[in-house]
Amino acid sequence: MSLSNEPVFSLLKDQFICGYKDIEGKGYAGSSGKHLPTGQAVDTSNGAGPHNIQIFVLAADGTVLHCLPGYWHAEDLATELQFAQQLNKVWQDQKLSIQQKDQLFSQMQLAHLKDHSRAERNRSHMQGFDVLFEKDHRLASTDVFYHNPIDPRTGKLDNRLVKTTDVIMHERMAARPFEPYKMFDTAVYSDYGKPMYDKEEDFRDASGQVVGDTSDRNYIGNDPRAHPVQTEVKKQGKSILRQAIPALVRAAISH
Amino acid sequence: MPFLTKSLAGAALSLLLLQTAAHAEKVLSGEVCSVQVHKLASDIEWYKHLDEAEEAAKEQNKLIVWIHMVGKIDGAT
Repeated sequence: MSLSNEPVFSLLKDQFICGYKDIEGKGYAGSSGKHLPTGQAVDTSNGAGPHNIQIFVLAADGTVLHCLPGYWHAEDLATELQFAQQLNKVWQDQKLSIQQKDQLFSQMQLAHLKDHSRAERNRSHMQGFDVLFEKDHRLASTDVFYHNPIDPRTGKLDNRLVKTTDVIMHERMAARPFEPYKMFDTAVYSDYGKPMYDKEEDFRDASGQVVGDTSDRNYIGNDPRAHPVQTEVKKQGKSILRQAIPALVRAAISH
Repeated sequence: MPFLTKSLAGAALSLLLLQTAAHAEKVLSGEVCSVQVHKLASDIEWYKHLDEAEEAAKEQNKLIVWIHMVGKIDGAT
């Protein structure tokens, strides 16, 4: 919903060419409960749902200037769009070599973190279930912690060592200066946290509390529950194959 | 229950309810969402092919916002 809020909406309408691609079915795409345009929405944190949405800002020649993983609050998204416009000035500067441009890109990405307000930082805390996913599945290899976040005395996670998503975004972008969109490793870039993201929006009352039975709902994206017919056909296919193979082997032997 | 204990219990319950309310997610109604989606989909031209967006960007000297999303800008997500 942030795209339709000011100041982003006017920025998009007046200063950018806008387009989108439906990534349902892509290997790196995530999944969620299926939401219609008439469904409810809930406020969430910057960078939530990185597998389900990636917001690229491209130069006219298809060069990636910036990429925001997941949802972003309108005021923070607007700041990042304007930052991308600054990066484009570097990209278009014919007095700079490619090496100089790349260096400036990385420096500017990391420096932009200093311009982030405390409010933006507070809006960028990673969802708790995403932090737990990273701790439980890839503690040794993930970049979402400043260093090993497990307190050796207690065995508990020290939340102060969890990076906010704006830090993760700018650090990952700094490592990808001015890459062509077609070469951009979206799968790796947008990978943190759980592949499934859902806030049960349509099951919340006006106060935000989850009410009602959330088990009976539709899904969208890379989740077998989103494709029940295909999933059933695949299951039946495997079952048929298991039954057919012995018969085929016997037939082959008898001949 | 002595008066002081009752007061403390009442205060603790109020604090718990306040914290629960504070941690509850802020909800946008379906009616509001529907209006916003319609506005987003109809007031902005959304390209579905990047090469066409690139051409428009060159003609109009603008950058491109190119969104990957599970679903459709005016449909289910």
